[in-house]
Amino acid sequence: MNLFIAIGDIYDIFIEEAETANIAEESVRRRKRRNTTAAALATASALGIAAFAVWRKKTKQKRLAS
Amino acid sequence: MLDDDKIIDLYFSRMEIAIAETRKKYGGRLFTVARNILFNKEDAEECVNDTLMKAWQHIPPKRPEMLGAYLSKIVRNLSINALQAKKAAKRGGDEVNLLLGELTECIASPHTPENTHEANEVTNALNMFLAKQEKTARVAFVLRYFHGESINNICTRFNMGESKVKSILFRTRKKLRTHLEKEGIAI
Repeated sequence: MNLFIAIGDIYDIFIEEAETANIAEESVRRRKRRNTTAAALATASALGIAAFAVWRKKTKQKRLAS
Repeated sequence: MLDDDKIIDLYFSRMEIAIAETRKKYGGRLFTVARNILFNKEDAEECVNDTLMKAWQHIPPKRPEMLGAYLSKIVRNLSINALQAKKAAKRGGDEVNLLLGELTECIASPHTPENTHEANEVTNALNMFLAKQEKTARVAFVLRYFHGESINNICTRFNMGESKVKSILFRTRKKLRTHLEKEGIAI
């Protein structure tokens, strides 16, 4: 019982984090990022590193513009 | 809805609307914590009211940095006290026992801390432990053992399967046990 009670005194920041965290959304974002990285690596190996650098720059510009 | 600073200012001005604003913003969250422990709507409502009263009595001079967390701690403590006063509620007792049972495995010895100093040590160790965990594990642990959320609710919030959430909690409890042993707590 004491450990259960001791948990009642943890830092406020952990309590707030648990209340407000959107783990589901974050895991979707992480998955998307992983997929993007995988796609980038696949493109890099297909184009060769110099062409990849150009492609990456263009992709980044397009993303920033949108 | 007012932000926390404005609500706290209302308390400092001794304006009773502070209680209504607090209820509007945090009432649902406080009720959930109380109900997860007491498993009784009326008792939970009573604990929420007592929490608001305590906030009124303690603010000022207290100025909580995080009003939501401050109130959650009060309602949790009041709910546990209410549960103990009723000598383990007839309804919901099983769920709380389940929560306690899951945590018991983290403490190797049945001799748990009995004085405040030791209780503070446990809390410090818990804070250190939580700070080191990955966000998902930490949030799951706090939702389960602070807020008393059911596994199903955590699954919904995380958009994960039951076995995944159970496994996260199991691994976290196991790590907690190791951490507490390392800290020399209740061994």
